[in-house]
Amino acid sequence: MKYRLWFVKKGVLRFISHLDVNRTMMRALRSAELPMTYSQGFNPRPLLTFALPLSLGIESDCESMDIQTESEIDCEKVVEKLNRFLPPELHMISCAPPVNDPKIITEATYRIVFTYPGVKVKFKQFWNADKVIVIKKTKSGTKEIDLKLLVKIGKITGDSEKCEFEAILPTGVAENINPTLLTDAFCEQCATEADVSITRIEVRMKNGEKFV
Amino acid sequence: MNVSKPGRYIGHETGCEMKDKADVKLRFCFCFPDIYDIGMSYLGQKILYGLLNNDSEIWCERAYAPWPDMEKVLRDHDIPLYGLESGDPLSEFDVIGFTLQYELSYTNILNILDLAKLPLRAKDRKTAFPLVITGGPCVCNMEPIADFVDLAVLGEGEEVLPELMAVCKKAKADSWDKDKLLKEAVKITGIYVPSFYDVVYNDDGTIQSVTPKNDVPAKVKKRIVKDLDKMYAPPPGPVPYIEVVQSRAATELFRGCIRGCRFCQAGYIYRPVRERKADTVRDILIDECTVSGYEEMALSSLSTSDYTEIVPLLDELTAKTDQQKVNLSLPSLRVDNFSSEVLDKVSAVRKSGLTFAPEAGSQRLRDVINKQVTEEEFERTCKVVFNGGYTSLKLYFMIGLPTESDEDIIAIAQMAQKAVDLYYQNAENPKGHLLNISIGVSTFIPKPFTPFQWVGQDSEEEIVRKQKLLASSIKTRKITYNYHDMETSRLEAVFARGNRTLSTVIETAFRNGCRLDGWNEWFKYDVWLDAFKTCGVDMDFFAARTIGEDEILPWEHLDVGVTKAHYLREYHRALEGVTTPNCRTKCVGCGAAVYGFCGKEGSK
Repeated sequence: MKYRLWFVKKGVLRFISHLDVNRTMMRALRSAELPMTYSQGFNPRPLLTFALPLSLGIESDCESMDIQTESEIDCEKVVEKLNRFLPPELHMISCAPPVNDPKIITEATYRIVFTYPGVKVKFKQFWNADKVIVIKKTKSGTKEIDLKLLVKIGKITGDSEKCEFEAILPTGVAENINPTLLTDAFCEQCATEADVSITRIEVRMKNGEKFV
Repeated sequence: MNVSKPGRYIGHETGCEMKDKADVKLRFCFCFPDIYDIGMSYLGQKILYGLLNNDSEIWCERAYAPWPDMEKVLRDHDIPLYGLESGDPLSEFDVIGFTLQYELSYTNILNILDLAKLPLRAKDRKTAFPLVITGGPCVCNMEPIADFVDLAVLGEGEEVLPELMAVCKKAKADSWDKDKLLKEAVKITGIYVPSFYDVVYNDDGTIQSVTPKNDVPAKVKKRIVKDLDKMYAPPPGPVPYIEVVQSRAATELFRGCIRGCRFCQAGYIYRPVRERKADTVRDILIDECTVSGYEEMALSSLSTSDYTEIVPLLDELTAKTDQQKVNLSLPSLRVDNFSSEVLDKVSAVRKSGLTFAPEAGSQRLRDVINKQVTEEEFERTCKVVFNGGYTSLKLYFMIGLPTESDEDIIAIAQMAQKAVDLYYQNAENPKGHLLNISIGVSTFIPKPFTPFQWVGQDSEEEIVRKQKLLASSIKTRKITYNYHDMETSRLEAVFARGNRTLSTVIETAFRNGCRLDGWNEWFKYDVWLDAFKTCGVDMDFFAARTIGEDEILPWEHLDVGVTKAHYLREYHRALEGVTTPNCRTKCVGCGAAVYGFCGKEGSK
């Protein structure tokens, strides 16, 4: 049986890596004593996959992981059991059989907040440029990309100390832009000391519908 | 974030104790003087963290030495080092407790105190709190850092800490000054207050006298837990997010060791042997595995295969590990009593590597160090291992042992070669590149409270020569040879047998940038050499000198139960190449029976 578990990654727990999340979830699952399906071979591990690994430093309201069990499980109880193990900052929200294939994820929305005196004006100037060229590391080396062509930025709000907006970035197996490419480029060019907060708030598919 | 592995500094793990500081009477910070990755692997932390937090009036938190990138962030932004649970600076705690696991962590203690913005020396910390205390094996000779510490616990913390905490609570409630607190605390057996002992030196640097002040006993007596089955069993404690050296469910099979290897401090300072019942061990481990979700469980002791109920215990545990796909780890196996039954259990889930420690290559030298492993036992064990399907084996040895000759060094290579030959003797074993015999060779370090405490360490040149001799004696690529760097072993020997004159050296080296000395990439031997030179302290006096049997030893005002007469007797027997039976075979009257019971069969 396959299940998709939804959880958050918040606060100081943004400082643990994807591998750490993976390890912690394995332990949470073992502690919940679920009838997990294990991989075959020398080092059997519970079958566990993540739709979109989240980079260290980024928070999320909408992380998902898929598990496989030998028999049917009570979704509500599983969420409760796992939350007995997990800290509030890595809290399970829900559990349900998966609907969509993670391979068809194409984009995600992130909420980005910069905190620094005068940062809103600076960001608007930065984003008003015709092109925002950054260097992206790929498997085969590095390449230059123009963020203006790839990133959609919503209404920029905030005050003299703060700059807040939502950004839609290509996300998934076909094309993936890490939001830190945008925030790092801005901090480097304009306001190196700005405090940056990035939260993944929704994951969608090609048809614009939410990934469930 | 310009810090590697920030997960080291955030706390918030499952099993981490959160309390409201307004609700507690005493705040304790358990400090492991190395990085999080090491401290979180330490079983003692789990026990004491659980024990202290079990008292609703105490909140015990944790702190570790930061990695240099984090230290820079803390110093650049003027952030004092904090407890991981509350995030409050260490200076706001009542008790700061360091565990002394190895000598090379001493500069980390100074660094932690400095990052907490506390004066390094006990005499410069005028108030009762924060009280800086230490515990752990190195307390048996912590003279090199005695000037930085307010008081120490000699022996097992489970026994002493509750009594000490009661005194601290009273001191806090009644606003005692530091002097009164120390004078009351020292009334507890097992508490050592270094400032209550005056040390006077002879012109040649040896000790003339150690004089107790304030009516404290001439010798501080070690405290131990008598019945391990009734001992407090802690919850699993914080489960780390990041990958640490060892994260696994672990509990002790027994404390102490029946063996009496003459180089081994642990074998002496934890006497007498006390075994736990298999049922107790099983219940604790299975419960811990479930609560923590750990993928591995480990049995901890100085010599796992000496545990009397090992086979029935493994039967019960493997039933659980099979079902939960949990790995079972058995450290500290002995060559002489390793059976195929035990091997079967270990291999049931995963084939992790096997490690044995013959310690010396020749029978003669193994007799000197009282490591009772014979050539025949070694051969038998190799056969068991290879027949069990293993193609790799790790062997640990030491060089620089007392009475060692070049033949003894060459014998290490011969022993490893023997293992290779035994593997290929069995025609069924696959040929090719599969087999790997790995030999890890460390340098002998004379330790206090061992029969070899008087023996000088070989010079650097001699050790390097022996390392090379061994390398050239290995004739096959099936044998992998690793050895320890001599420089750290020499410094460790200096501290192990050091006295209080070393405190200025340690402080100087720390001020000049030494910390994380146990880490190759941060160890600065040249800075250490400079510090010794600046302070006019001779390393060889402590490391290389053979100490006279009539000298007052720097640690002689501490008493772990075993008598000096026994150490001397064992020292002499070693030099004659005579072995001493283990305490299950025959009691030789080491002195540990002073605790009212000892490891003799059936004499609990």
